[in-house]
Amino acid sequence: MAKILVVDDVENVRYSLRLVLENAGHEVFEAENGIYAENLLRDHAFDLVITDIIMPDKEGMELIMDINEMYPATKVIAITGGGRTNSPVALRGSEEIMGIEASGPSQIYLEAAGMLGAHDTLIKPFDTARLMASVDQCLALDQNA
Amino acid sequence: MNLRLRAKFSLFFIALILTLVVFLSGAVLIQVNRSSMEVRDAHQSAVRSIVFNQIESHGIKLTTTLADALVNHVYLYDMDSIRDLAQSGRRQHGVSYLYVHDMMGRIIHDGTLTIEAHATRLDDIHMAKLSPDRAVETWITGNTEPGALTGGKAMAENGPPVFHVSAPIVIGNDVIGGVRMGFSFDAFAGEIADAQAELSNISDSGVNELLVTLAGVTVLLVAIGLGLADQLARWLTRPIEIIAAASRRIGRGEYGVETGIERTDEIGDLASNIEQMARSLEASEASLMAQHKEIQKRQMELMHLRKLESLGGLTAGIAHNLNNFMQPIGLLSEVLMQKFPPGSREQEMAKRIIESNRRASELLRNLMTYARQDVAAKNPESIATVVDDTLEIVAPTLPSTVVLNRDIEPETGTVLIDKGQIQTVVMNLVSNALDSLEGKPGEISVSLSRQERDGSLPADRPAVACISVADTGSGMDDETLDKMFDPFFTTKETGKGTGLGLSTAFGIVNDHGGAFSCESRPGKGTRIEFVLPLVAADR
Repeated sequence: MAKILVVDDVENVRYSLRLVLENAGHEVFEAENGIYAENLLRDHAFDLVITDIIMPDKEGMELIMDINEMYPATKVIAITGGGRTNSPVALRGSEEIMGIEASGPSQIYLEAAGMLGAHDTLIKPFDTARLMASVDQCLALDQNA
Repeated sequence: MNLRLRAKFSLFFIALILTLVVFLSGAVLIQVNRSSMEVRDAHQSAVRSIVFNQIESHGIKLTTTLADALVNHVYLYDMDSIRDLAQSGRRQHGVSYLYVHDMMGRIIHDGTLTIEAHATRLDDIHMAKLSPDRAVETWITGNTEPGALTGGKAMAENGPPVFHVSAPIVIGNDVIGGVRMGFSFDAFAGEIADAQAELSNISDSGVNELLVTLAGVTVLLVAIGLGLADQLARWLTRPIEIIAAASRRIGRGEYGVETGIERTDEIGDLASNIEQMARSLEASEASLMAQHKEIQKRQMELMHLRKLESLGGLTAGIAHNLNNFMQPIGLLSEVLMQKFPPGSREQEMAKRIIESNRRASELLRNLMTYARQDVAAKNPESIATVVDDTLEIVAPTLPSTVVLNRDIEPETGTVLIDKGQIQTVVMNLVSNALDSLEGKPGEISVSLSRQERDGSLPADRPAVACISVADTGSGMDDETLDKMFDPFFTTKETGKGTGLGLSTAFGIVNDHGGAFSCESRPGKGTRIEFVLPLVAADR
């Protein structure tokens, strides 16, 4: 039983994750972008945030950095459907900053996310087993800590 | 003039020969004409001189005979006999006058019936009948009184030609008189004309024969000339025609032409130049063809890369959204499946949804790989190990009718690759080979070898690992070969192939700095191979 925040701009993705996580007995909150997520983060202490990396308004990358900075106890799983970013300049900038070899957008995002502090990364579409394995692993980290 | 060279040469020679013949004939004609005129003149003078001689001897004979016959009668002065003889002498052919005179030059009788001339002295007549400058040739010697012509012959030049003869009438040593006769040439004119005409006929017929012969020779010469002109023109133009034919063949692309002209003149030079030109053309065309092939190959590669790029952009854009759609489908159908009792129709339906979703996501991932939207995690690997491992996975899946030949060079070297991706490539190739066997017995041969310095690769990577997969299957036609790397192109039945196997392989190999090549013939099988650059340590 953990408190999990799901951040994704696609409602059906949020809905399906919520359903699976609730079935597993977790308490699930949803935010459709980074700004809403920040608001929720201020009011609730989440054990885990599952966030898409590419979203309008506020990029998942920023959210991950903020969580790491402000809520170090909260674990993060980064997810992505791959494909192009809406702000390629930001992406290219991060490539250069982090010295990642440009080889594929989704991979870049996930690697970047990992470097920024995401505990695990998942590429959409993933199945329930893969999701739960990741969630359980992250939460276990928390308990061990 | 728009004529063939041969015709021009022919005309030239014909003109030349005709001119020559005309000149020669003209010269011959002029010469013949001149000669015949000379001959005619000679004939005429000959005829005249013969006739003159005849008249002369005839005259002399007649006159002397008459003089002899008159000796007794003049001595006796027997006028009847003198008259008879004179008249008969006067009647002789050609006699224009006749005088019988005494030793004093007095005319006794002139042979006519009249006696008027009796009183006349011969000298008077004589002087009138002979030109003064003409001396009388004396042919009977004897002392005669001056003025009395004793004998001789003379010819008057002016006036009608007359030949005069005088003969003395002699008894012993005494001249008692003489006979003087004139012979007219006019009387012989007909005979002279006849003789001359006959001679000139002979001469003319000779000239005519000559002219006929000349005409015959001319015609013969012209005929020979015409034939010869054609032959000459042919002889002159033949090498040019051969060269023209050779250049036509060169124009059609037959570069191995030999004119067979072995000459040291300009035509020989031209022939050898043309042969040389053909050889240069052949060489440059061969080199052009090679370049053209190379360019085509590069274009094909570039085209694939462009497709890759454009598809990459498209895929990236679509993939993000599609993955977001597929994510809830997968998760929610899994939830649904758990909600329904095992073995229920609803659970079966949910399973189908999950399965379809999984395949869709696989397709999308392949597309991403092909479009290089997926990253390769490259590590140094022994390519021999990677290929071996892949074949270990693949071999058990092959039917027993298919023989798998392996020819793996273990010391090929190290490549910097994403092992999973390269395994995918090899598996795709083997899978295609199996499909091309169409369920019939056959062979699939996988080989790995090291190749040095493939010209198509950058110079800093001279050594490559070459992986080839060959089959004895159905093979591909040229059209299929052209399209084999195109995404979504498949020869398999709808639903059996995604059309992404080879295009994915192409994307992966390209991403690894390698290249594909393929040879195939319908019904004979296919051999497809790709190279990967070996890392520096193994060079």
